[in-house]
Amino acid sequence: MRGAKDQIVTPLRVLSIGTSLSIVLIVVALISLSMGPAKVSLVDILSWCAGMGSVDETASMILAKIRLPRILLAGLVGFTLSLGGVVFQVLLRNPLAEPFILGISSGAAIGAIGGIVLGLGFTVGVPLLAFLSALGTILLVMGISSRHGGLESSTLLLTGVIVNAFFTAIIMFFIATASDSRLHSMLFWLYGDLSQSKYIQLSICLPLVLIVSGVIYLFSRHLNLIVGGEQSALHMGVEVELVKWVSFIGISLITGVVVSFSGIIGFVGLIVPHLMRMILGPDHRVLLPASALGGAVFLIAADTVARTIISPSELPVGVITAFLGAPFFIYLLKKRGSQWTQD
Amino acid sequence: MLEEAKIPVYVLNPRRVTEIMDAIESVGDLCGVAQRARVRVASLRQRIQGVTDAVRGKGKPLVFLVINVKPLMSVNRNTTHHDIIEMAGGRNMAEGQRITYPRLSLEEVIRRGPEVIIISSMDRSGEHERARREWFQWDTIPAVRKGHVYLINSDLIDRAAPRIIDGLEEMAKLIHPEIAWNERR
Repeated sequence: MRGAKDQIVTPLRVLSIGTSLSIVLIVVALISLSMGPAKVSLVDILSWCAGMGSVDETASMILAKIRLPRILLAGLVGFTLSLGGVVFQVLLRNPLAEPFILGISSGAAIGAIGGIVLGLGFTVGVPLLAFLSALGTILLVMGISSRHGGLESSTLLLTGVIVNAFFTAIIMFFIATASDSRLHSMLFWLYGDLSQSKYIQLSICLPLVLIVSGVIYLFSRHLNLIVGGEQSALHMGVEVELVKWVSFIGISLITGVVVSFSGIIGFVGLIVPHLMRMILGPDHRVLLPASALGGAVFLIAADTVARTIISPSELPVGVITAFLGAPFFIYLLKKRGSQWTQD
Repeated sequence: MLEEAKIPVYVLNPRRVTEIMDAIESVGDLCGVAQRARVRVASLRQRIQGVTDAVRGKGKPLVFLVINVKPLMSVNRNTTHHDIIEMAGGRNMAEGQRITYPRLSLEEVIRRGPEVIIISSMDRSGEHERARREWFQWDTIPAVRKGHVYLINSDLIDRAAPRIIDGLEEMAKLIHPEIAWNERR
């Protein structure tokens, strides 16, 4: 129909889009690094990154141990959620799909809240419990909806929604009966928060995310064919069920891992894939890397706003993602249409 | 609702330690034990005097009172906690915040560099001790450098009741460890 969508996807185009988004990512990360209650100029940041210490000890500690790990984790979480969004939207053939739709968010939340109720720590205990319960939930959902080894999209979606509703009821029960001190921690986790980012979390998430996104990228042609209908993809030699099982489990695994550290950060996995689809068209060879990088940029930017807008206090990042994302999304939707249907 | 049920209602909303003392006397009056209340309050007032005398003329270290660990929350000047910190001879780091119980970023705490960090803990499980130890990685904060990171039983400072004077004395000991408190009794 319009410009970008009709462009033929060449390796060069993939590379140039990837490179330009990476440059945007680095610029946004540097700007984010310079923002916060402690004033550090962009020039100082650059010299600090180059290893020349012109900042004082306190500033250097703030940059290295608070802002940098937080920006890196925000990027990784945005990358993962947005990639998950693209894949789930295709495989579930539903524009409303996002990585949480199969129950990962409420599953992880049950684990996290259970951990908080038990008084576990936020470094190991709570994330571990959140991850295990997210994984358990997704396996439960997939187990319920699989028939004769096949996963049928609408059954999967409905099961996910119902399991989400059931777990949300349990979460509300915990919140209603929680003591004051626990309540803050719970709400905090439920709204998504990156203020406790540490390098150790990155070193756990990063390898998994890289491996899974690599595998998913190998499926990008298959995903293109699946968009046109599972039957026709099957006729063209795509092992549809294999692609689905591997993708669902892979995406759920990395979503579960990042969410167990960040809490529930909504909206990223829904809007960034759509934004990129509107701008770059529906070919997954471009859409997958563009969405992942775009998600990283978006979440770093949103988290920067979250931690600076009411400084020295902070907002949960989930507030910002929807608040900033929704108007922009509506604007693009009005202007370009969803690009969802293959017209 | 209670008034509709013809149950007499008295409203007390003390914000300052002195107001709490007045409130205790009022409750004494209402309950018909005015004399006992007055005797009790007189001895409490004496203990307040003891603390304020002891810290008079001493330096006023910057105190960061942590009322919630995750998210990190503190108290502004409209709280009894603030009043206790002041009376105990400290300066409340978050006094100027607009929100009564503000959420603060770790970065802000590092930037301000409090000289004493006091974590108010609601339970005795290892949770708060762990939170205390976690501060030690931020070693540019003066409080951390000098090891002035403490826990305080939140029951002592959260309740507008006679116990709050125990909290005041405890707080003063944490903020001014250099004073020989035992000899003063």
